[in-house]
Amino acid sequence: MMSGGALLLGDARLPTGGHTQSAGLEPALLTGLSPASIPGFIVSRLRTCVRVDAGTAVVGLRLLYAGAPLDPVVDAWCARTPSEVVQAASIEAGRGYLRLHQRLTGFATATPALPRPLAVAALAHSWDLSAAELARIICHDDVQSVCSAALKLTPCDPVDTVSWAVAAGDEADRVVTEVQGLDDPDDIPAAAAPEMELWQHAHGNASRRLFRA
Amino acid sequence: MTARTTRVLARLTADGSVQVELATGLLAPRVVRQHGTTVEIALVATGATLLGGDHLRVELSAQDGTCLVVRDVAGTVAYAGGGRISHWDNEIQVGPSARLVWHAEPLVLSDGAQVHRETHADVAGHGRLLLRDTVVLGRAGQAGGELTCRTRIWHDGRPLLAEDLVLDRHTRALPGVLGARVLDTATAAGWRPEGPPDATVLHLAGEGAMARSIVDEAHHSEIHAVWRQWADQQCASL
Amino acid sequence: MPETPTRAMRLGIAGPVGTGKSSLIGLLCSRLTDRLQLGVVTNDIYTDEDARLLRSAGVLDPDRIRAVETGACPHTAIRDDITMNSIAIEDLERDYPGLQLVLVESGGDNLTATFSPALVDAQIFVLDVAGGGDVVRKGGPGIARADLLIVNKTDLAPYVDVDAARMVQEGTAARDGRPVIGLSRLDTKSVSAVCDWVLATLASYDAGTHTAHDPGPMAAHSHTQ
Repeated sequence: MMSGGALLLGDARLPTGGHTQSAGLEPALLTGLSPASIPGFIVSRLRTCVRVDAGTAVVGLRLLYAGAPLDPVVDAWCARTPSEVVQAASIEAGRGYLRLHQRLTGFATATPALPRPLAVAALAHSWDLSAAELARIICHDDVQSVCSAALKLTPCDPVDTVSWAVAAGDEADRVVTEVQGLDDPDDIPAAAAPEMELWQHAHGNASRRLFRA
Repeated sequence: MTARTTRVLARLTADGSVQVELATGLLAPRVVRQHGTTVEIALVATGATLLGGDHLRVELSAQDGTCLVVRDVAGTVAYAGGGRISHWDNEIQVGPSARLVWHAEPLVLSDGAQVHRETHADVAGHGRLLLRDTVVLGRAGQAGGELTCRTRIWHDGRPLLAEDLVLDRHTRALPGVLGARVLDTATAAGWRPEGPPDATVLHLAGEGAMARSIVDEAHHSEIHAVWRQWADQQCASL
Repeated sequence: MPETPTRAMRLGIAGPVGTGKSSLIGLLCSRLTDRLQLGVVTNDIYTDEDARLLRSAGVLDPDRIRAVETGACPHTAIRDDITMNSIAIEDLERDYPGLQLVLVESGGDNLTATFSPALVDAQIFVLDVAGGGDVVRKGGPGIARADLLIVNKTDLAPYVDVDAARMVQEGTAARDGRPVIGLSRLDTKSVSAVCDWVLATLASYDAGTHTAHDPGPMAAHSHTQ
């Protein structure tokens, strides 16, 4: 059964600024991704950057439960996130979680900024989540960020976006299975989608954007 | 199949000159030029490579105070392997205050080729590495074979770049993975080249940068110009 | 004794698209920048258009103007999930110690959008005569209960066949005596009235006697015990 904390973290209504993120969809559509390819785009992300983020979150959670510093896992995530634009966007999104966390519990990190998956992991630690729950949340949030941004960016029926999320379920299950047992930063998946990285990298200079990233 | 290792090691001797150790594998290293602490090496294929089941291994090491410049004489074609995977491993060491530049030529994957490539580099503090990496999926008119690339670059004991590219036919057809047949990359580790902000240049969180272009024809790659600038800066820094 | 605040006052500026929120902020900046340490946060539908406009107007150091992208949810960003606006304000306060007033411009929205009292200490709702004389009568939480209602562009009233004085009068009636100012940037008296209101509100805030009111998204109602 999902814990209350897991449900809160998986809920877009949690006030962390999630509505400002499109999980790479806006840059992709601006650069030429066809709306018909969005379901495949969701799978691409689960195969690559979401695996990286989910693995990062899980290893971060283990380090937090062990009372160990997060620096090695921050380094590992940075090495897997080559664009400074993508790094900055994740750190900015992470600030939303850190701010909520700080307001709720007085939580303060040794490092002033954490990428989003580690900021989520820190809240997950406070709320006693399991590694599998956390990995599931990272996948779910990315898929739903794409789906909800799609409704703003391209004409579609919300029922369609739900069907995309349902169809991505098997791939999300595989991510959870693959990363839930990780405890070594070196073992965090490093799967990359170079084209998508370049799309997101270009978004830093895009004008007339709706979403931060 | 055991690896046939090509090895190039440059070290500074007591009198300030550079001593080079070479070993021939599927590629043969030849000293092209040597001046001061810089040594320039060409890598020459010793036979038809890359064939199915080949295990090509290259070890490059620039030890403290040396500058090692490596050039491929020609691109490499990976031929259809009849279901046998070819392996290509690069092991690169850059010592403190050393420089290493590898002007690599494209790796072209023919239809039916399956290549698994791993590049591992360790760059010491104040060492500088510059790598070119061009992969072409398919010869003219082909869809191309299957490639996986595992890259791990460490700088001063910390991970700088970790990337696994899975470019089998199914994965690379997914939206946002590759989108074209040529992936051209220049990677600087241990230093960040100077230059105006550029849509192709990614600034790594650590000391380093990666320039990348994805195009259908290698000669359209935007990395040629970036590479010339970066290579000039790398050599000028000596 | 009332507690005195430790941070800058946050003044929200809401109102429908095109009513002159950005111009009002430009006006306040140019008139108050010599007297107050100011910062601005804009919320745009599309990226940082408003921030760019203000920066290029040269009324304030461009770095004191921060833009928040709202993911096409301007209403959410000032009301139900104020995270990104709060972060932008906190960054301004960190970067400019001694900041006294942060103006937060909402993305142009409809008549129901108001700021969360967790985000701003006071808010101005801006309408204009060109939107039609009947807009005040349509009401809404901002019109009825914002700390100040501005009826903007009164100089245009004759051209759009609106009685500006009557609009102000109806606004006053709809607001149980809360202040309403008819504003034209060409009418220095009205500009001074707005600046005076801002300064008085800030003085009250600084003295610890100002209370943030929520205009609320709902019609006023009471629960009987």
